[in-house]
Amino acid sequence: MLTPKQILDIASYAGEIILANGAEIYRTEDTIIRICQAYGIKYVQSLVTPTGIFISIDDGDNISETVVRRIHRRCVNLTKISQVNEFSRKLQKNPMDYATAMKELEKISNDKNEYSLTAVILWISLGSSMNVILMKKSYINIIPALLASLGAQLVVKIDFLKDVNFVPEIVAGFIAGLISLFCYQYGLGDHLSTIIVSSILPFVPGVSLTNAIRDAINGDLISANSRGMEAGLIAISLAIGVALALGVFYT
Amino acid sequence: MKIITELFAAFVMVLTFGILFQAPKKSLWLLGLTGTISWAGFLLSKHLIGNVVIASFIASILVGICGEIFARIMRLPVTVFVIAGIIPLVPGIPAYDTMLFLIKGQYLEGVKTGIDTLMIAGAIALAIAIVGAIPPRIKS
Repeated sequence: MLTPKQILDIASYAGEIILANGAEIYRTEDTIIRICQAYGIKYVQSLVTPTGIFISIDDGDNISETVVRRIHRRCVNLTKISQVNEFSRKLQKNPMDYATAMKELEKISNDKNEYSLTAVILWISLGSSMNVILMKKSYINIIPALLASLGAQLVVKIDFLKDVNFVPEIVAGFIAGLISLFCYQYGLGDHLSTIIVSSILPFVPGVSLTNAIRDAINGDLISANSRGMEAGLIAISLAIGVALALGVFYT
Repeated sequence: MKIITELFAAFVMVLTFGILFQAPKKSLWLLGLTGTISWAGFLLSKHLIGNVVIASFIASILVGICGEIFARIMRLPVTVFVIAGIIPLVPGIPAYDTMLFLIKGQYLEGVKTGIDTLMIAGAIALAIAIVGAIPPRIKS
């Protein structure tokens, strides 16, 4: 039988992993509650925001515990979400002991990414240039879009700027804008805004905007506000970067 | 011919965004298929109705349904298919246009595209939320 402290440890660790890897609020809360209930805790309350997790449990015998976990960095890694999902399903069928559970979570948390950085950069450049076809523009625009996207990805993914919020987006917008303008000026491509928009597509916060509205529909208003704010700031940063490139070029 | 190229482009685009979001390897083909199906739905409903917001809504409902089915086949969370699947539909371009207009000082256009952006994003989110709410009801 695990102590309430140990149960909280497992639940908060699992919640931290999936929240930091881009899970929705309701999924994180649900996972935490399911793990606690699998260990026979009757009373669980969890409050999850994009920046932190609060869990409080009470086993009915006057023993209650609370934990707070702060989330600093967020990215999207769907493999880790599905691994934790599988873990929590396994745990509900047959509650494992503390050491095994922690070891398994540690393994998920430290696992390498499914795809290497180079593969991600090359594939995503190809994918975002496909946007030219979806926007029904002539196919010649694919080449400059591919080049601009590749340049932006290379600079942002490899350099040291990654650790500062919103700076990568400004740099990406700037580089993409510069390469697009250069190609356009020399006759490669015939629709400038399509090229720019396609090349910065991987940075555009469309998904966070949609997630923000989804959170609002679910009633997670704090998360909806903060995610919407984040999406807005990212869009502004990208636009500033592109505007800088346009300004540099035309003066 | 043009439509087939577009469907193929949607396939590649959703698949590569799956790679960007580090989706499990075994889900990639079905991810691409989700993109193709939703883009076909988008093209068809845009042709029939002629409204981007409603077309986005219908296409997102298709994404949600595909996600629910494929997630059960592959035993993965639905999010894997939904996050990458809505990529061709999300209003990234209007969102970017809005900010560019506002920075250039063209406030009227900025507000107009801003409202467009929110309408499309809202339609997508609502469709995904509606589809996600149905399976638990069927089970119980």
